[in-house]
Formats: sequence, C-alpha cells, structure tokens
Amino acid sequence: MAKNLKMKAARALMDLSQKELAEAVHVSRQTINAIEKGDYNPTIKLCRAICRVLGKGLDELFWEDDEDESGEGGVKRGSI
Amino acid sequence: MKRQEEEKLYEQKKCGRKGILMRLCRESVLDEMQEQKLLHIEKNSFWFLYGMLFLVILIQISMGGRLREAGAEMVCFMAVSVFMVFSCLRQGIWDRRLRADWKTNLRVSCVSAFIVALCSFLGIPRRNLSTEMFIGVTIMCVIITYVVTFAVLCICSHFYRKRKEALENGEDD
Repeated sequence: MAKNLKMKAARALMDLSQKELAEAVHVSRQTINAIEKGDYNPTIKLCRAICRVLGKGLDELFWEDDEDESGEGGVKRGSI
Repeated sequence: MKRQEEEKLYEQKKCGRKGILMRLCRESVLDEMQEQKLLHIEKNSFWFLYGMLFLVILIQISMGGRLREAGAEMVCFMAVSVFMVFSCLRQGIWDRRLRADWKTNLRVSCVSAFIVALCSFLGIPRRNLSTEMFIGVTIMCVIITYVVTFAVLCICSHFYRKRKEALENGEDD
C-alpha cells in the first residue's frame, strides 16, 4: 500500500502531532503511524473521524489516483 | 468532549456501580488496528494449539497408549472441530480456496484415507496382528475412512449450499 502523504501533510498543516491526532480520533498513535506509512487500511468510520478532525474531505485524504494504487486494500472511489 | 462526559455521567447514574463494572468488562480498550492484530495473533495461536493437540493425540497413541487414554484430548479436538464446522456452515462459509463440490469431497476423502493408511503403516494402531490381518484391517480402515469422510463432506456441502442460498436470497433491509 502506498504512503498516505496527503494525510501527513494535512496533519502537519494543522500543527498536530500523530499523538494529538490519535487522541482526537480515539485510536493509538501506532494506528495513525501505520495509516500514514500505508501499513494499515482504516475502516470508513475511522477515515471519516480523521477527515473531520483535519477538516478535509474523504477524497482529499484517502482518494488514490491510478498511479498511486500500488497495492491492494487502498480506499477506492467504488468502495466508499 | 463535553457531550461525551455528559453521556458518561448519564450512563453512571443510569447503571449504578455494578452496571459501570459490567460496562467496563464489555468495552474493548483496543482500537480497530489493534483489534485486527489481536485477532491475527489469536488466529495463529488457535491453529498452533489445534496442530499441537492433534500431534499430542498421535504421539500418545503411537507410544502404545490406548484410545481411552487420549480421550480428553480427543473430546476437546472433536468439540473444537465440530464447533468450527457448524459456525462456518451457519455463516455460509466453506473454505478460502476449496469449492464445495463433489471433486473437492473426493480429493479430501482421498487425503484422509491416505493419512489413515500412513498411520497404519507407521505402526500406530499395530497390536500383535499377523501381516495378513494387519493389511486387512488397514484396508478396512482406509475404506471406512474414505466412505465416512466422503459422506460427511457431502452432507456438510449440501447444508452449506442451502445456507448460502438462503443468505444470498434474503430480503433487503
């Protein structure tokens, strides 16, 4: 799975650490870290919670262009 | 955050001390990724335990023990196996890779008969039998295992197909 740089950038833009974002969406820091590294594919519920905290839309953070989809399990438009 | 605290307070008033304890016992403190990792660990542990239990039964019998001596292990093994089969059938699940057809049933029955034959020739149930008698008993065991396994698989696959059909053709909510 590709790294989620959009989420990392949005988090940095809001000046939030991984721990702060994790606390805001009620998960552990390792989960946020795994999502950003592309090691974990979050559920739609968690995606929405992250989007709400970062003030972004699902497409902006979790939409992958064709060239980015270098692995299985990425959130695709059809699956939302 | 304030709303959550209010909800918590309301819950505390509603449930009392005992209710809070019960709620704490039920609630998971893991997030979704940790939950998935724990499930993965539990899955690996289960298959390890399942394999070890099977091995223990084989070793106990091969060391000259009677079937009765491995009874407790066998009961546990069978109970877990039956539970797993029924749970899968209820959910309309057969296998990750195998299809529920007669070809699969034939192949799996062949494998189980082969395992029984192998166990016989390795001398697991051999007890003061002449060679002719031993070969006869082994052939009988192999045939019985093959037929019983095939019959059980056919019955299970029949129920699986019916259950899957019922689940697939259920009404929309």
